[in-house]
Amino acid sequence: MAEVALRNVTKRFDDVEAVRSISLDIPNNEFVVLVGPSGCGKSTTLRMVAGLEEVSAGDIYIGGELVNDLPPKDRDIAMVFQNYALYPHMTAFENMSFGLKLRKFSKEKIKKRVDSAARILDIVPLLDRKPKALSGGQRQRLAMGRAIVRDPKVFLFDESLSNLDAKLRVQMRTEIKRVHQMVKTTTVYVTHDQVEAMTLADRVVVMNNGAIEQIATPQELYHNPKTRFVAGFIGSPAMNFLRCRLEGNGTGRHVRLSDTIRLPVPASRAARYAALDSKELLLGLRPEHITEPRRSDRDQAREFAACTSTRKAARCSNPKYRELLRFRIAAKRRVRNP
Amino acid sequence: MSTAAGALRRAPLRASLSRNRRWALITSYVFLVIFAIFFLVPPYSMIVTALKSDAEVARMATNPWIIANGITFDQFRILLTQADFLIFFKNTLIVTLCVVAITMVVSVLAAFSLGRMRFWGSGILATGIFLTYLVPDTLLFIPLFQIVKAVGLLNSYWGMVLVYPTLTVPFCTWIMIGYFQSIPKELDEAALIDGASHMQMLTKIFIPVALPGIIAATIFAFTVSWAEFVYPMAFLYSPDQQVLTVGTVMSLIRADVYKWGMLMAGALIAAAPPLVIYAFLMDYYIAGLTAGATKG
Repeated sequence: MAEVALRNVTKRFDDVEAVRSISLDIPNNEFVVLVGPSGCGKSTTLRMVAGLEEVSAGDIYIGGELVNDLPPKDRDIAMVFQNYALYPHMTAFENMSFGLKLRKFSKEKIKKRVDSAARILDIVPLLDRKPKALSGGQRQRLAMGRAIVRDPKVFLFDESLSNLDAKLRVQMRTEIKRVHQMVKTTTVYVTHDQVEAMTLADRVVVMNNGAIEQIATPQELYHNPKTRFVAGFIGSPAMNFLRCRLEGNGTGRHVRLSDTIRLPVPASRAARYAALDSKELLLGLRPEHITEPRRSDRDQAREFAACTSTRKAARCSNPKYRELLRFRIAAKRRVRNP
Repeated sequence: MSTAAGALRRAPLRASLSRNRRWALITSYVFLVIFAIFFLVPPYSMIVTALKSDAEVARMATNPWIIANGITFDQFRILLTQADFLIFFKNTLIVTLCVVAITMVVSVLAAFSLGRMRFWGSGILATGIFLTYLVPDTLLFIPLFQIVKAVGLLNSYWGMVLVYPTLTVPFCTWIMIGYFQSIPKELDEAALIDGASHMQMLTKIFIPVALPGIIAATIFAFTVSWAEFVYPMAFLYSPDQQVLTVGTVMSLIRADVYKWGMLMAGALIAAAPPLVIYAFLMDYYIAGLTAGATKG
């Protein structure tokens, strides 16, 4: 158990800057998820914390100790890899005990720890089997067991569930959360799956192009995204972006979408946007915020003619939505998500 | 309706597939039989000749493919009791075991560092090692002669222990590099995090996982050292230092007198150890030992 701190950490591969001066503080026992599109530098960041990649600039601290030049084995971390990385010639028991044996633990202690971890993960009957005799989910559990058994300061997960089928992924997600609640340990989890990030994390770190876009709790991230990237990345179906103009009207304000459509800015925020009056802005509109029109808004509603109400919501991971609707506002003013 | 039409369309396709398969099988078997005959005739001739008496071998009237006057083990008895055959055998065994050991230690270590530990120039070095394998021993023995002479190992089978690895190490290293590179890199990263040193990673993870490759390399090194002819021919001249390949030929062919029975008996005995090695090791030579390490 330890806190992890990154200070202006940069990673360069030749001329390419994969991670750009990121800073991050992870308190003890927190479950932090690094999320972002492919190539955003999240895995590289994790690998730098693990010691599998050298840091080009900046400092990494684990438990207050500078670990930049410390080899992985001396960082007291455990990592669960995307493709399990189990030792194929060893049984599940040997896989789990390998790290302990190298650290010269006594046989009794090794057995005790392995048994305890196996019980937590419900893999006790599988301990004599080799990885090839295990299913995908069992291998994933074993990989987690290998990490747990070491009782490390920090757990690192590198897209650990992306090889599993959808059903198993949901199941393992719950499992990981349960294990984290049982074995309180600082955890850094990398994924490109925002649902995974939102359901697992105490705090989510959204990364893009090697930089951190926002660090926040899942709720905060969803309701108060700091950048357009975060707004567009988090949420499924994604947020709609509409060009609009902010209009002041006495103390109240409106965002105007077309000649006939305007939406009121909540009074609590109206004053905050005063400086942006008459400016062209982007309005972010989450799909669930589009509802049936109230009586007073009927005139405007006509403008939002639902064109092709098609595309079944099969692509949409949120069961709340049954259909995807596409609206056209006046003169095709819809802006695509980034 | 559409299902019925689909079934009709599929039927001729299936028939044509099975016809294709039948022809492929027939062709395969024809070639298999031709090659089997081609490769089995020499060993058959060896066995038949080794089990004949000298008199029968010399008699031109009899059919050389059958044993007309009964089986005799005289050739083996004389070979093992009166000739230097056992000395050659012992020398060959010592040389081969030493060469296999040296080769495996050198090539496993070299392949591990070249294949897994990224360092500047490792790619060029790996190619360079393989290129040395392409220089034939018939050219290499001339400079090697100077070296063997300089270290005082001319006419000593220990000289063979020194020179044979020039034939075995490059190819074995090359085979092993391929095997080591095929092992997922997450495996060494997992081992690093588990606390393994590079040596522990090699001995506890890589060698067991790359066992099929190591066995293939061992078989290669064994066969090459057991059957090498040019170097002992060039560097050894006393019978007490000679190895099987050259020794058998030199002691059993006197001018134009060929002791065919003993030559064949000697060849049979000489061929036995590689056969035994193959038989034992092939059981372990199973592909797919990495199954289960990562997502398949």
